[in-house]
Amino acid sequence: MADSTHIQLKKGILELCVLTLLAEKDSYGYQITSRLSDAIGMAEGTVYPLLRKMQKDELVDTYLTDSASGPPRRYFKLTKAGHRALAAKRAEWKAFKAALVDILGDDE
Amino acid sequence: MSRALFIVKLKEGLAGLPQSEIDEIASDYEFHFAEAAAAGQSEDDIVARLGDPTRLARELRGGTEQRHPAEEELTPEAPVTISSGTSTRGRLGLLLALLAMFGMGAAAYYIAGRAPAPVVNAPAAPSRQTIAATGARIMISGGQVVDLGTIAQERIEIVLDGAGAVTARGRVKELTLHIDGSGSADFGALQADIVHVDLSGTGNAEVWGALMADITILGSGTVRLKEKPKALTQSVTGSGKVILPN
Repeated sequence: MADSTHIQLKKGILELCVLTLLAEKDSYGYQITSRLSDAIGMAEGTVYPLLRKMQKDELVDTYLTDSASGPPRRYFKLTKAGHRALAAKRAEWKAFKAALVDILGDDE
Repeated sequence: MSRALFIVKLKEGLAGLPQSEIDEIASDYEFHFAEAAAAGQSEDDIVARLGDPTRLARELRGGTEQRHPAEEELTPEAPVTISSGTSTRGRLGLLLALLAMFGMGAAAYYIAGRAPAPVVNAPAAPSRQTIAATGARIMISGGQVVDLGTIAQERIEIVLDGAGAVTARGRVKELTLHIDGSGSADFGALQADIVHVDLSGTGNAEVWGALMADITILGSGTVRLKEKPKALTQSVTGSGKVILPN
């Protein structure tokens, strides 16, 4: 698989993953990046450009909290539009996955 | 590389953007350094896991440059033809390339055996827009009001995932409409042979499908039919309803 294709593929999936994680619970940046880079092996830094874009699109919002031990943390939370985007992307993903299984077969 | 050098290189790479934006982006990474350090990571590890700051800056610039959606997001008809002898591997490669170009929706489209439709991403600003619709799959997000004008084409697919509104007139063979939010679609003056509506949310739609209408409602949305189609398939889950003409 071409390297650039691989990266594009991961990026598309990355947004779906971030939306999903934030739908589970509000999280600070490091929580999201460490969870995702472990799972899909991307440089952690690439999550921030995506979060920034999602903030611009008003899919996520941020708020600051003081933690008892350590620095203040900035949490990201999903907006209503973010929840809707998640629903739409999940539907797309399902269709895409079904189509892939059609070609590749189901290994399960 | 140290934290300080990472930030310097990042800012160098962002030069030219407004200072306020550079500061905000740098603070994203400053927060990350603090949070990762609190989780017990060394500065070297944090830098190594973040990736190359110059490359990140390039990515950030790409995401912040102002683009004119009508010019740049409207992808021309994709020159993709598959001969029957194409290997599975080749097909997969093409599929992934399509995925990269058009996103998952179009790739799924391709597999379904249809030509991949160009994707028009309507701009995010809430404003009145007119977008040329040429066999397109049109995404409308946020609160925009979009008038597609008078249409004459084979098929059109519209995805409305915010609180926006969309309208069009004219004639198509097949209209596919997905409404995920509270948006509203007025296609009472767009005559179609076949209409598919998929409504999940509180939105509403008026459509005109002369031959066939296939309507799925999940939630409290309403679909009003301009004319009773020859064949009507409906599935309603929730308090939503399909309203037929008198």
